[in-house]
Amino acid sequence: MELVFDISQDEMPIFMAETEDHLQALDEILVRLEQEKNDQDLLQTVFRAAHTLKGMAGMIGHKRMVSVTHALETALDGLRKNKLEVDSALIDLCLEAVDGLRLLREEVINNELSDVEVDSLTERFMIFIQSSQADTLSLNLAQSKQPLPTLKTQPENQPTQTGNDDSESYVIRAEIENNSVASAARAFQLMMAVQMFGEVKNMKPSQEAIESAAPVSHFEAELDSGFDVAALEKELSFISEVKNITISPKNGKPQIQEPGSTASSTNAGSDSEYKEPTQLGDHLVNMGIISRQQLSQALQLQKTEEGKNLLLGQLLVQMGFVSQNKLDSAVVDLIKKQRESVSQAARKQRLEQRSDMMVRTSVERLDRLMNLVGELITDRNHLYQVRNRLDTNGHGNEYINQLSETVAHIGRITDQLQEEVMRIRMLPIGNVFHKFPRLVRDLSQNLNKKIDLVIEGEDTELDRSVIDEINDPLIHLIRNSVDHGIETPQERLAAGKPEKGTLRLTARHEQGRIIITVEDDGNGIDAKKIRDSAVAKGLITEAEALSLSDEKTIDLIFLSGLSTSKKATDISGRGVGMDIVRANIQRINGTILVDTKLGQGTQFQIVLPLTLAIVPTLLVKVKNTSFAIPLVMVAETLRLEPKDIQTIRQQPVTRLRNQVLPLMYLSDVFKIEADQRTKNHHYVVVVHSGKSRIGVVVDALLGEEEVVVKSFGSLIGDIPGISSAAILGDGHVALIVDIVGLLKLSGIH
Amino acid sequence: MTKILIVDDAEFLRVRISKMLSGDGFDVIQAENGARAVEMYKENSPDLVLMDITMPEMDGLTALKHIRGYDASAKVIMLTALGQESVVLEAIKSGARDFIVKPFEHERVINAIRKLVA
Repeated sequence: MELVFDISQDEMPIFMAETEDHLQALDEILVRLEQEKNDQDLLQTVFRAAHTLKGMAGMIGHKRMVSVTHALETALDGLRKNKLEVDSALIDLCLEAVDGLRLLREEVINNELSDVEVDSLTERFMIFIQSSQADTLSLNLAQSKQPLPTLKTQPENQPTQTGNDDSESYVIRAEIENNSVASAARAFQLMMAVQMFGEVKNMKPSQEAIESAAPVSHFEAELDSGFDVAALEKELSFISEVKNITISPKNGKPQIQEPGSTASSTNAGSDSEYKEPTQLGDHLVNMGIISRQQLSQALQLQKTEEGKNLLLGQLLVQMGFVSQNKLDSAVVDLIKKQRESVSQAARKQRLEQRSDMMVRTSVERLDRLMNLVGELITDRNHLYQVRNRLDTNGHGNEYINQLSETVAHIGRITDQLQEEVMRIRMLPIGNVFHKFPRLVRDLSQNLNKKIDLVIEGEDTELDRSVIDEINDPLIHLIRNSVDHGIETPQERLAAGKPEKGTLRLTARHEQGRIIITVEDDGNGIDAKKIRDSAVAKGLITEAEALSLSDEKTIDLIFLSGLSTSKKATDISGRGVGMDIVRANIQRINGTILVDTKLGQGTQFQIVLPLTLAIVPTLLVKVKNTSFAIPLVMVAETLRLEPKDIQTIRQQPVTRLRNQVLPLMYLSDVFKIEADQRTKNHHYVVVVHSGKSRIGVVVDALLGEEEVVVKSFGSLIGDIPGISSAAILGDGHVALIVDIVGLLKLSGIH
Repeated sequence: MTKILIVDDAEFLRVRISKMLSGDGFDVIQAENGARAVEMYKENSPDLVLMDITMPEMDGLTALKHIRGYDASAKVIMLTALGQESVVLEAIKSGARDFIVKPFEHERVINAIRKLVA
C-alpha cells in the first residue's frame, strides 16, 4: 500500500532528525523512570516528547502515528499527574509504543505500510488509562474552582453613557461551532468581550460552568443598553469558531451580524489600552502618584474619546494629575520592574541561546569541508618544506624572511582551521551510549538478571565517523557482558556477591585518544575453558595450549569460532562476534584489550583515535617507498647493529630490555628489493597491537607527520598490510601501514 | 510588514509555519521555547505571536503571562493540541487572543492572524 504524507523533501530531514531525537529521549527516559519513579522533571520531559511527536505526526497527516502518540501521551500525562503509577508493565507498553513509533516514522520515508498494530497498542493503553479515569473526573472539578481574574482598572462606574440611555437591556447570543476543541475557552472569550462593555447579567452558561471547561454550544448574556453596539459586534467578531452572533434589545428583533462584516465604528485598532488591565495606571496608583479616582476619570475619558487612540499617560498629564517628568520616571521605573520580573527567565534563556544559534547541516558537507582542510594541510606541509629549503639557501634575504613568516602564519591558521572543523565534527559519545539503558533493561529482563548500568563520560566527544563505527562493537560487548558475564541473582548470591550486577560503561580522553571501557562484575573468563575449547575446536594444538600463558589464552576469544558458553542464546549467539568486534575496531585504527579475573569480572578497553580523517604517523622509508605508521601503534624506535639481530626458528629477533622481540622486514612483506640485511645498521619501529609487540625493520625514519587519509577506492581495493594512502607535503604518496594486517601477513601474531 | 513571532520547540513546526507565513508576505521570526520567546518579544516587538503551549524551559502559558506583563496589548495566539482544554481556558484567561488546534490548515492560521492584525 502506498502511503502519502503531507511533507516536502526539504522538510523531511528536519522531521526525521527531530522525531529521532524525541524517540531516543523517550527510550532513555522511560528506562530511567522505571528506576526513579517519581522524578517530576523526567515525567515532564517525557510527556513533552510524546506531545511534540504527536503534533509533528499530525502536521504531516500521519493518523496512525497520531493515534499511538496520543495514547502514549495520555498515559504519560496520567503519570505526571499521579493518576497512574509507574510500573514495569506500563513502561513495557510505553517502550513498545516507542518501538512502534519508530516503524511508523520509517513509513514517512519509505511510503510503505509497516506492520505496527496500532489498534492493539492503543487498546492496551486504554486499559491502563481507564483504571485511572474515575479520579480524573474529580480532579478536573477540583481544578475548576479557580478564582476569576478581575479586570483591576475597570472603572467602577460602568457602563459609560455614550448612547441613548433607556434602561432597556440587550441580549447577546452566539453559537460556538460544534467542532471547536475547547468550546469553553471560546465561551470565556465571549464573556470577556461582553464584560468590557458593561455589567453582564443572566449569562448562560454561568461563569462557573464555563470555567469547568465543560463543552459549550450556545452562549447568551444580557447587557444594559448604553454601550456601543457596533464596537461589541466587532469585538465579538474577532473570536474564532463563533457564529450567528446576535445583539438585540431584550424584547426586540435580533440583529444578525453577517459573518466577516466589520462594524462601522471608527476604532479600527480595537486594542485600546483601557480594555486591558493597564499596568501603568496601576503602577501610578500604587506609587501614590495619582489616586484610583483620577485613574478612573482618565480611563473614562480615554474610552469616550476612543477614536482618537489617546494614550493613558498623556491623558493624565493633560488632565493635570501628573507632571510629564514624574510620568516619565514612573514609566522607566515600571519597565525596570518588569525587566526584573523576567530576568530570571532571561538568565535561563542565555544558556538556551547557544542552542538557538545552532545550524543543522549535512554530514556530507562536513566531510567535504574536512577534505578541503586535508588538502590545505598537505599544502601547508609542502610549504614548510619549501620554506626550509629556502631558509637554508637564502638565509638573511628579506623576501625569504617575509615569505617564511607568512608560511608560518598560514601554518598556524591551518592548524586552527583543522581544529575548528574537527570540533564541528565532534559528537558526544552519549549519542551511542544513550541507547544502552534500554538494551540492558530488555536483555536483563529476558534473562531474569538484575543489572545496574552505570554510564560515565557520556560527554566525551569524538569524530562522527568514529561514532558511527563504534556502535556495533559496543552493543556486542554489552550483550556479552549481560549474557555471559553477569550471573543470575541466585548464582551471585551463592558466590557472595550482591544480587544486582553492575555493568559500567565509560569514555574519556587520554593523550589525543579516546578510551572506552565496558566492565562488568560478573563471572570473568575462565582461561582453562578457553584453552580446552580452542583445542577441541582445533584452533590450537594441545602443545600450543600448554605453552600459552593465561593472558595470551584469554586473547583467544578474539579468534573466530570460539565459544565457551555452555549454551547458545539468541542474545549473543555462539562464538561469532568477538573476532568481528576486534576487526571493526581495528578498521578504525583502534585497539581492544581484555582484562579478566575469574569470579570478579571482565573489562574490555577500547582505544580509539579522535578522528579517522587525519592521522598522526611516523614516516619511514624502504628503498624509494614511503610508509606511514599510525603513531597510535608505535611504542618506540630502535637503531640496531647487525650483531643485535639473531634468529630463532628462522625468525629474526632481537633482545629488547631482556625480552625477545620478533622482527619483520617491511621489504620482505611487500617484496621490495632492498639491501636491508646487508646494511651496517637497521632502524626498527616497535609497534604494538593488543598485547603483542613486534619490531618493523625499515631503511630510514623520516619523522612524524600528520597525514590526510585517502582511501584507495574500489579501483585498487584492499591491499593486505596497507590500509590507505596519504599525500605528503613534498607531493609524494605514502602508504599507511595496517599494522594488524601486517602481523597477520607475517604470520607472527 | 507584519512581524510574527513563532514559538514552538519542534523545529519542524517552526519551519512549516514560517514557510506558510512568509509565502503570505509576513515577516517571520522564531523562538524555540518560552524563555527565548519573551526575550525576542522585547527585542523585536512583533505584531503577533503564535505560541505552542507545551515546551521545555518555559511553557507557553508562562511565556504568555510574561509577554502580557511586558506589553498588555500583546496579541498572542496559542497553538494547542487535543486534550488541552483546561490549559487553553487558562491561556485565554491570561490574555491569549485566540487559539489554534494542531494539526491546522494554512487557511485556519491565516484567518486567525488576519482577524487580529487587520
